[in-house]
Amino acid sequence: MPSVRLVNVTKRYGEITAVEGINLEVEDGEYLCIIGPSGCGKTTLIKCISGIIEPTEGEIYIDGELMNGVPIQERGVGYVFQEIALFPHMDVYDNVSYGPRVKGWDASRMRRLVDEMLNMMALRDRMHDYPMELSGGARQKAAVARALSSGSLLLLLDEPLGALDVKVRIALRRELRRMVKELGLTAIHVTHDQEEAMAISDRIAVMRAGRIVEVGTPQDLYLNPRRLFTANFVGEANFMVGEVAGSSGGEVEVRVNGEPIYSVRSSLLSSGDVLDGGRVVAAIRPEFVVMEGTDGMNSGFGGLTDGCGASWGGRVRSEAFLGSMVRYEVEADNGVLVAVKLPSLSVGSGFRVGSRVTLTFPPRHVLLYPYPPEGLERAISIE
Amino acid sequence: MPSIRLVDVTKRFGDITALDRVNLEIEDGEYVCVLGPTGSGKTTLLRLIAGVIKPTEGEIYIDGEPASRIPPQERNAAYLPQQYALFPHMRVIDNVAFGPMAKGLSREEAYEISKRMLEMTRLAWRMNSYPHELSGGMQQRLALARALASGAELLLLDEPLGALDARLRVELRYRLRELVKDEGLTAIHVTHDQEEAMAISDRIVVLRDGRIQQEGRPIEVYREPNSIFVANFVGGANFLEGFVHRRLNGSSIIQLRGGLRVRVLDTRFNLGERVVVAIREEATGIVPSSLKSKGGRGNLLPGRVRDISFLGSVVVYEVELVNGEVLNSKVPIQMDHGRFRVGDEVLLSLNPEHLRVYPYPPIGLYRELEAV
Repeated sequence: MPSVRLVNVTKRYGEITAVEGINLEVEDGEYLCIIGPSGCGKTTLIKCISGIIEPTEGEIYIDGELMNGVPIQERGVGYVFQEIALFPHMDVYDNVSYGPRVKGWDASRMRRLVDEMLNMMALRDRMHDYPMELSGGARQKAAVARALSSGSLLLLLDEPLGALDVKVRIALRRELRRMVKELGLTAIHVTHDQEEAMAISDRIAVMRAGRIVEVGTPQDLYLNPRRLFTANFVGEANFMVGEVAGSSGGEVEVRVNGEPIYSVRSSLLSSGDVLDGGRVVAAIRPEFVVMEGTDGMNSGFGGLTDGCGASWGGRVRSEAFLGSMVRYEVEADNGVLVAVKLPSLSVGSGFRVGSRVTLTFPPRHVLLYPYPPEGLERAISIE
Repeated sequence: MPSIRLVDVTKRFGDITALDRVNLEIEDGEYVCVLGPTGSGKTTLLRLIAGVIKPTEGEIYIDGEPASRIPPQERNAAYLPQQYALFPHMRVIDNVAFGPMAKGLSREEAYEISKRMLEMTRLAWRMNSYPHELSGGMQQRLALARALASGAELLLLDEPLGALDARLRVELRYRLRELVKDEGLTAIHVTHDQEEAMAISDRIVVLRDGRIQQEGRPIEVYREPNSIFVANFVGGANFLEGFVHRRLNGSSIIQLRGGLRVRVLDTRFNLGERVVVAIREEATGIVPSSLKSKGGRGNLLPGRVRDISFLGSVVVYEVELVNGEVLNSKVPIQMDHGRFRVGDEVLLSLNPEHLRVYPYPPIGLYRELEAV
C-alpha cells in the first residue's frame, strides 16, 4: 500500500534551482495531480519520485521506505510519459505483458492479468496491432495498461494525455481515474491542464517557480483559493484592487475606484488589513458575477444571490460564445474591466456589445486577499 | 482591404485529395476560424490562401483578383505556419521589428509597434532575450507577435496558440481577437480547439475529410449542428440511438433502447426509421427521482448517478440510464446545489426543444463518433 512522502526535496542544476524545499504527502489510494505553468518544476519533481532524477537535498519515502539511491526499477512504480514509450516491434499484447513476463510469471497468471487490463482499457480488439497501427488515444491506453500490468501500486504519470485530442483526452481521463480507483492504486499525475486536474484528482498541488504554492481538493482550489496565484491559475478570476472602507458583522466593505464591493470572505486578511484604508485585492470568478440588463433582462440568477451585494453600472465591451457559456467583458463605470460568464441557455442573445448593464457581486463569492508586497501583476503572473 | 473567395478549390497530393471542391467567401475585416480534426485539410486550406501551394483545380480570388496572378509576397498577408522560423541571432524585439523595418519604418517606429505586440503576447519582459532562451510556448508567442507587427492586413494563422499552456491560451485568445478587430484586420485561424474557435471568431468553418461540413456563426453552428459529426466535434453532446415509434402532430416519439421513449419536435423522419437523438450536456437537466409522479409531459428518463466531476465553472454528472446508456448532465457551478451523490436515483430531463434528430449513420453511431 504505497503512500508517498517528500521531505524538503530540492533539485539544483548548477546555478539553477528546479525545485526547492518541497514537502508533500500523498496518501495510499490517493489520486494527486501536480499542476503549474511550464518551467515550474513539476516534471522534475515527478522524476525525483520515480528515481530518474536524484534530488540534491531532501528525502523521498515510498510506503515509509527511504528511496534515495534506490534505482527506478526497484521503486515499484509504473511510469507513463507524454512521449509514448511502447516497444515498437511488439504488438499491444506483448507490450502489456512485458512486465509480468520479465518477472517470470507463469503463463496462465500472466494471461489473466493482461486480459483484465486489455478489457478495462477497451483494447481487446487491438491486442494484435503494433503501436504504429494505433491511434494516439489507443497507444496511450496501451501505455497505461502496460504500466498497470507491471503490478506497481504506485502510478506516476507525466502529461499522459498531453498529446491527445480534446475528445480523447476527456474520455481517457475518466477511464484512468476509474482504473486507479478500482485497482486501489496511488497515482501522481503531472498536467498543465487545470480542468483535467480538477476532473481526475482527489487533491491538486499547485506549483510555481520550483515551489508548491498550495495543495487542496479541486473544490478548495476553485472555490476557496488561499493564494492569489491559485485563484488566477486554476480557472479565471476578476481581481480588483481596493481599500477597506469599513466592516461590520463579518462583512467587509471595499472601495474599488470609488465603488463599493462587499465580502463575507475575509478570513485570509489579518486584523491589520481590515483597518479602514487597508489595501486589499478582491477576487470573484466570472460565473459568480450577476449581470442584469437595464431593461429588466437578467442572467437568471438574481434570486440566488443571498444578500444583495454591491451593484455597479457598466457597458458590455465584448461577447464571446463558448458553447455552454457566454463570456462577456464589461467596462464598469468606475473604469474596471469585469469578465462575466453566463450559462448560454439562460441568455439567448440578450446582451449585446454596447448594452448598458448592472453588475452585482454576491458577498459570499467575493474573496479578499491582502495586497501582495510584490504587486498584483507579479503575484498572479503565470511566468 | 482583403476579401477572399475560393471557387471550387480542390487540392490533390498524388492519390490523396486534401481538399475537395471547397467554396468559401471571407469578408474584409472578418475573423474566420477553420476547425476540424487532424487530417481534415485545415492546413492545406491556409497554405493555398497564403500561396505556398497552388490549387489542383479551382481558383482563389483576393480582392476580386485571381490569386494565381499575385505572387505570395504581394498578397499583403502574414502567414504563421506551425513550423515557423525565428531569427536565432536576433533579440526578441529585433525579431518582431524586422518586418516593420523592412517596410521602411524607422527603428523607433518599428520598436514602438513591436513593444505593443510583445505586450499583447505577454512577452515584453523578455524583449532582450534570444529565441533559444525562450520556452516553446514563448517562442510561439514571439512568432505570433512578429506576424501581428508585420503590418499585413490579412493574417493566416495555423494553430497560433497551440503550444501554450491552457491558462495562457485562454487569456491570449481574447487579446488576439481584440487586436484584430481594433486594427481592422482580416484573420483566418486554423485550430482543432473548438472552444477557441467559438470564442475568437465571427464565423466557423468546420472541415471533415477535405470538405466543408458546416459554416456559420459560432452560436449557429453550436445550436444547430447539421450532422452528428459537427454536434460531436463542436461542443460535444449526448447521443442516443432509437427509431421513430409514433408520428404525432408537430412532434414524434422516438423509442430508445430498453423501451425508453422521448418526444422530439423534428418530424422529418418516417415511422420505423432508425435515428440518433442528440442533446447538449448542459441542456440535459438532472432532477430528483421524486419528480416522477408529476411527470408525463417532459422527457424524464430514470437513471443513477455513476460519477461526479467538479470542473470549476461546471459540475458534470455522469448518469447511467436504466437501459444502460450513459449520459452527461453539465450543471453551471452557480446553479449547482450539490444535492446529488454517486449512486443516487435521478431523472434526466431532455427538453424536446433542445433535442436534435439525425439519420442513423451508415458506419454506425460508435464509429461516427470516433471520427473526430
